[in-house]
Amino acid sequence: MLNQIVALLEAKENGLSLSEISRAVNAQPSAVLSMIELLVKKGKLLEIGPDGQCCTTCSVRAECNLLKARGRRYVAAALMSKN
Amino acid sequence: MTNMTITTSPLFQLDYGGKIEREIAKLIAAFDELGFDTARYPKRWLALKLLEADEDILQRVSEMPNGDRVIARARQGANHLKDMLGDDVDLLTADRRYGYINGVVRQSFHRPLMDRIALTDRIDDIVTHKWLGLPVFFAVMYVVFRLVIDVSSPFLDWTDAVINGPIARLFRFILDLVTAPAWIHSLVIDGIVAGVGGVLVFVPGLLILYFFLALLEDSGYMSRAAFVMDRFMRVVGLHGKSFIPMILGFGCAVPAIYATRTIPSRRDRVLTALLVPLMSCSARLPVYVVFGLAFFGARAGTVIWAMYALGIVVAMLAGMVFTRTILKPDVTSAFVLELPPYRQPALKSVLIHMWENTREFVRKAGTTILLASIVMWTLLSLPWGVSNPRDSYFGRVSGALSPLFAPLGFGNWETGGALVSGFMAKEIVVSTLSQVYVGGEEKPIEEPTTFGKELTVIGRGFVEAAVGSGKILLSILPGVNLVDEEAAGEDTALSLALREHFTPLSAVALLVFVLLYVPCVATLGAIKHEFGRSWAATSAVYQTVVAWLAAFLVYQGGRLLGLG
Repeated sequence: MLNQIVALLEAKENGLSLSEISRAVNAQPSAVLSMIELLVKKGKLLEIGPDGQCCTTCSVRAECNLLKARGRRYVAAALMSKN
Repeated sequence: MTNMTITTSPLFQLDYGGKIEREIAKLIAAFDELGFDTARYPKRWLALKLLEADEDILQRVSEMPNGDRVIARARQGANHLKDMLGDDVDLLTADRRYGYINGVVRQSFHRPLMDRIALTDRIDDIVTHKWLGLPVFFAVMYVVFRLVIDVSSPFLDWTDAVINGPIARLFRFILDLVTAPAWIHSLVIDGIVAGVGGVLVFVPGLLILYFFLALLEDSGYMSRAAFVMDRFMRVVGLHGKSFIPMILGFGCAVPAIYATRTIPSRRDRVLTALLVPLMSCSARLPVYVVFGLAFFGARAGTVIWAMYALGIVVAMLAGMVFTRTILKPDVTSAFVLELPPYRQPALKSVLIHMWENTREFVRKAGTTILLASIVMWTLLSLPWGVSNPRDSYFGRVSGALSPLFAPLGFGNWETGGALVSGFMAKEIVVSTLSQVYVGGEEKPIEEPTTFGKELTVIGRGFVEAAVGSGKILLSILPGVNLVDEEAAGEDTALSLALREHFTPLSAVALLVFVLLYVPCVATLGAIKHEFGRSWAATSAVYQTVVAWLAAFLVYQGGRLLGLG
């Protein structure tokens, strides 16, 4: 299932919501979230959301209401390293 | 802890697959072969933890006799599995466990269909739909702008009446009291009150706009909008993460430019910074509202919405052009958005959001706009004693520039000058027009009044505005019409003056120009700071050229179609 999630993210250029992933792998969103956390820990996905590394260096992070509202985001590490 | 023993039930054993199971068996055999004491832990569990490179277990085993040799064997086995299966053992075993748990849940726990697809999911199916998502987003924004303009218009009239009535009278009274010279009178009334007041008139509109935006954000919809726009931007060759700065650009382009730091690739950062100023920042809203209400009345909301939509469309087109020319694309990266569930917005949070954003606008009016109003008044008054603003230095320079704008339908010196002054900050376009058209007007002789009477007038005006807004809000309901069309939409002095110098078509051309032309000096400063002088110059030049061409197309195209 973990590889399935990574493969899904690598294949879908337009991004996926948590709900869409949980439907694709036929699992509860809460379970998918814990899988994502493990994949982040293992470096397969990178968190780029409000608590992610990208935002920590931003000078206007504290003022960014959108980041507060939009929740966590993840990128497939393999794709990220190609950029 | 060191004396603890772990036992597992022999009734259940998860099968990790042939290859992993073989390595587990080989490692268990190695325990005996190497004379490793396994009395403290179950063999299978220990072998699995060693293959997974569990740090705690590795530490404990390394302290035991022959532990290092066991660890070396385990590493051999783990590397072998990684070579064969392409992943670390802990990831492979976790995958098996998740798969097993998921299978158990699916077989043993049957949820009704309606539970499984929760309300949030069902709404998301529509608002984040591949094709429906974008129209839904634009429809939501259209409703918001209609509400903002319709509901705020009675308050805009009220603020305008208060600023040009009681407040202007109060300043005149104080100036008369201290027997201030005529030029101070002119500076305060024609310069500061007309300039700063011309911008402050829009505070009620901004309060209502930020109220609705806060509602959307707190309800969870803005996250969906981000998701939808993110997908859309990828289609036209932009990085998904560009959406954050672009959304911030609707507030102010300066923090939005700095927010491009969240984008990993420099090419994507530069591209986003070039497109962010095309988003309609809140500074442009006063220009839209003034012209929208002056020329389009009840349809002002539609016109303003169209300006916001046009900004997005032009940004997309410009992005496509840049992507195919000077900024070739990198590989795009996939990502997942965790969409928060929909929730009822908290009034306190909405009000704080509304106030914080509006406070920034008011602060700017008290600093940048105030300074610009004084500078504009000075330029309109030099050489000293000039009677006609047209003959002032400002008038002469603006007059020299005005032929450039003639093909766009607004070739008068007043507009040319206002657009030049808008380079400082876009709101200054309105304050300059207000100074030029309204500031110098002869004021009718007013009857003496008292402080108490003024307060009564202000209070009565506010109540009337509140009632008017309430009626408009209720009239949104089907079958309800409480709005007196004749009484609705009182003209301000600036609206009347603008109608003498513009047609509806040239007004639209001006709005398009204001939307797209050179970013304000603070935005260009941010671009220079982040990407260097040449990209700041590129931004200024390309936007001005695009603005001129777009306004030209609107005005000349409209004339060809017989619209003006």
